[in-house]
Amino acid sequence: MDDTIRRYLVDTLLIEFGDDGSAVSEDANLFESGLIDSFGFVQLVAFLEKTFDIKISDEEVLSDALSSFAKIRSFVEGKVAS
Amino acid sequence: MCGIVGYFHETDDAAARFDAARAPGVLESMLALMHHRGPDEAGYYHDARTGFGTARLSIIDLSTGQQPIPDATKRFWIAYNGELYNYKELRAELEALGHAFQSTSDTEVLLHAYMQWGVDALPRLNAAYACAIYDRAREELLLARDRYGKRPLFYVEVGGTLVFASEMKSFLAFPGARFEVDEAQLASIFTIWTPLPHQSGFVGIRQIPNGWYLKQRGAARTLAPYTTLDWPREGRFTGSSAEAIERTRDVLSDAVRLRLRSDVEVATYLSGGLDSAITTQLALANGLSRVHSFSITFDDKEFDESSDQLELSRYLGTSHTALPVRRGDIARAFPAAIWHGEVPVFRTAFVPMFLLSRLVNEKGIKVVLTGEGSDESFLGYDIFKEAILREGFDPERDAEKLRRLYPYLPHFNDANRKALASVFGQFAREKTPGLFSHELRFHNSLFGLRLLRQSRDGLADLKQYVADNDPVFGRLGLVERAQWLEWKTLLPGYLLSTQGDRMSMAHSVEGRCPFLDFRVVEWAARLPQELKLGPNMDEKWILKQAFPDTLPPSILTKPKQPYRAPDLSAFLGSADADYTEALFSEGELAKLPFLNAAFCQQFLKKVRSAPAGGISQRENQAFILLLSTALLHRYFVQGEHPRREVRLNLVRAVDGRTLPPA
Repeated sequence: MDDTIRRYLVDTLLIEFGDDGSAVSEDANLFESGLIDSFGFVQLVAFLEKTFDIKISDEEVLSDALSSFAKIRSFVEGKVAS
Repeated sequence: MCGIVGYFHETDDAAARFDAARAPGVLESMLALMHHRGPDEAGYYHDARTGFGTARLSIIDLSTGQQPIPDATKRFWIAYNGELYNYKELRAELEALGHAFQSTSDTEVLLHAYMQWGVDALPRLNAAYACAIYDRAREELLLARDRYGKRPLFYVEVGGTLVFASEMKSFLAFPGARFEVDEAQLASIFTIWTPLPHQSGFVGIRQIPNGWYLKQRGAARTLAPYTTLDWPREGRFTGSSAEAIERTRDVLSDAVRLRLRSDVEVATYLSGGLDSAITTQLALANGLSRVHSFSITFDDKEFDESSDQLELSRYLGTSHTALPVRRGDIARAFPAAIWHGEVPVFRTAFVPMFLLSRLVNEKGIKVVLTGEGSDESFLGYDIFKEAILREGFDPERDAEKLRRLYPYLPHFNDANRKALASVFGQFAREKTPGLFSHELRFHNSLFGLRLLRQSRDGLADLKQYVADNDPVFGRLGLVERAQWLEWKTLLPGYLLSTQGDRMSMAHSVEGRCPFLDFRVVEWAARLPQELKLGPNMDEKWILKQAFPDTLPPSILTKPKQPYRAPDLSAFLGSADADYTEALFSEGELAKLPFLNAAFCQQFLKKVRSAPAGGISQRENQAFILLLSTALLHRYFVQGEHPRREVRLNLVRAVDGRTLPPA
């Protein structure tokens, strides 16, 4: 799961995750840093629902549950487990 | 309509270095590079201090309007690009003051207005123009530009000599002038989409900002505005909406009436929307017995408005010509169009305008009326509504309101509303002082900035510009600030220039914009916001009230569809875009040191393999910014530009050294 989400973000946002200079931290807010836009967010939600066969509610979309790689990962983990 | 070029030696040293015998050759070469702006005739004046000239497209006073024009004493000389719409009124005023005229041209009126009133003449002009006026007695040069940026004027310093031209490409013919990409400006352009009014994208090359003048005497320079864009608190309209509607109708009608002054046929662009319909209707109401209208149609249904255009043409009774544009046409014409555009662009919509002006020219028409300026004055853009809705936006409470925004963007649909609301919620409060209205737009530009090598604050230049314009900007309200930003960026920096003047003049066609009559702009600024948006956030509400019969009801009730064209999709996998392969090869991109080459390659690979519908708006923009920047670098910095042999029809060449002293 970690790999699937990571690959999706790396491929669509054209970023690398890591701690060195040009890389993006897993905890970085993808919106504030401008790495994802409204179109990208819409696509991300659709990707997660389809890939992991989960339903993301309006409330969840409106929360900041999907604002960083780390949060997306734990959110999907929680969803899949429940 | 014309193009002007020239130079002015600021010091005797500079004059001595410039061999005066070269003047005719230099001026002719500079004019030849702008032959498209004025193919009918060319002329110049030069002496030991200065040299300037005009490539002229004759529209008013075809027979005696040859330029540069002197006054009777030959002390003052003018090279002029533009139209002075109130020249008859000004001429009468000047004649009453004792001025005598040798021709019927508007150019001579401008010259005498300057002789009479100095720079105080400039706010009196109802005009779209750029000019150079030389006073031989004082050895003083004036450069000036119209209020809103209809006509261009660039300048650059070359070793103590001030060199100027309507288009930067003329600098390629001035000895010692060179082009280098300004990295800081590029970051700004990639972020806010356009150069600021004084910028060009190149190091050292500046624009006379619209509404400003430059006066040069020896090495002493004055660079100052003669007008200020404002929504003043005093003088607000307080009458009834019926009065406001009637006045709006009258002021626009008179703006169109003045713009029908021409010795050649005037046609119109008919987009299918409200603004061009109003100008067309008013042209008919003001005495044009027959109007030839033109429009662009797309085979791509997402962008096509042909059914509205045809319905409108039938409704208004115009003789209509539509130009069908396919994706391949855009890819094929892009390089030629950007050569004319001269600055990086973020979308392709200017390219169809390039093709359209060619068609208009082939039909033998030199002047068209267009609708620019209406959205900025009467609140036509969604970004104004967005600013109102996003301020204090609560995703839970306000998600439904997004229904009113951007109905033409595919991902702004019902299914995605909550996700969009979430994004809006994060931009509900101002992050950058003063720029709230445009923050989301600018934020999305952060992606394009990654194409550049150096990491910079892409808003640095705009923040400085806004600070320089305090206190006017500081006391504007939310929507007025959004308008101010549009008037300073997208309108002069793209709509009137790259998509407007540069594309129409590429084929010797002059655009006239009644909505940019300063009386219309100042009137709209006095109107309360409620009359512009109406009771239900309905864009340009007052225009719809003032011209209820201008559009068929079916079009009137449709949401506004901005003029757009296919962007990246025009280039992907198209044989007409073959040239991008070479342009974006590793070796070629390496010649552009300001790019992050690795990221550019990664980005290009991604968009080339993207599925249909998988390209975002910011990716479209980034691609077009990269493509235009790369082509401009090739043309201007590397010097590999399209050359065309032209023969100037030289009708005037004056050596001022042979004239009696002024």
